[in-house]
Amino acid sequence: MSEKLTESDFLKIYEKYKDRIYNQAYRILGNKEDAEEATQDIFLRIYKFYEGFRGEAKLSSWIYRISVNVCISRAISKRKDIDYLEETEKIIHKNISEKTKNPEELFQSKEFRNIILNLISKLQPKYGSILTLYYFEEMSYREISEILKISEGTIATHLFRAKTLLKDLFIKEINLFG
Amino acid sequence: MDCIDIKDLLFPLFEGNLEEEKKILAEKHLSECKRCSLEYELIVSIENTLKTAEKVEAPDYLKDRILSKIYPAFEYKKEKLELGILSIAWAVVSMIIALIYIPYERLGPMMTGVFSSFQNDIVNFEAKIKEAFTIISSADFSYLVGFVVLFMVSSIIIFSIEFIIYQRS
Repeated sequence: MSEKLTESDFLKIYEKYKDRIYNQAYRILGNKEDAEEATQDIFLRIYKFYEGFRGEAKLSSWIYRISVNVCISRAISKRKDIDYLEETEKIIHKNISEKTKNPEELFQSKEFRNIILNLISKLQPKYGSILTLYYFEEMSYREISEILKISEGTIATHLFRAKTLLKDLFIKEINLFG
Repeated sequence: MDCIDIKDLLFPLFEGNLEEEKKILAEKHLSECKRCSLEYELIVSIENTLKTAEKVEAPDYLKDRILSKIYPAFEYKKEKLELGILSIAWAVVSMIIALIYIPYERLGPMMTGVFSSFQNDIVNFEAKIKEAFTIISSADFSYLVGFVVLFMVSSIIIFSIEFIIYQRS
């Protein structure tokens, strides 16, 4: 059982994980405001539950587990907000404009990158979480497996599914094949 | 191999996880089918985007917001630290003023006397210079040294008290 986090220890954890957690929240939730609220919630939980951290898992795995859980639960509540989804679609359609006429050019553009990264927040949050851990945090299947408490085989399946959905969502959103 | 067969093989093909036989069939289909070839290009671009995506950094103000919720005394401590910095700034400014103003006040009349005698007797220039040095070197600077030492000690004490309060609160 750990002791209560002192301010200096908390600050060390904050400085080490703030950008990783914020980036993950931003990608899963899709906007700055929600990412800020989620990041705040995650750090408050880290502080609150640190005393119960038994050190059986690595501290980083424990922190990422809290982060993923908060992001997933916030994303699920957000999905119920229909206005949010409509707004996201408007932004996507505005961005692609004329570029769909030349897909090869579109795939190399900044707009394409923005659309793909925005679409992560439209996937089921469990897929968004795996994508962020694997690609942005550059974690191995084993590390992700420790955090999410699911087998490496399931991670591989989810990752494949996440990327396929991302591709299909993109094709559908910009009506790539007419 | 047709478009339906290849659909789930595109990612494994990109990752190099296809058996040789399937790989050859998939590549053959891609060379013949524009739509699937475009979809494969899309996969390559998605992979590149995910691998090279820039990380979004947490805004600086988030730290204060979070810390003030966890440690209610944080705002108070910030104020105390700012107060400590202010008191140091005040000490430095006061010392500069003291160093400039007090010597002027004490040495000013002496220097005025030296300059006026120069004006009256420009011929004995060398003698007057020596006289000026004698006046200045005989001046009593001990008050100034005492003042500086006292000010430095008091500033250190003030800052130490502020720092102890900051650490403990």
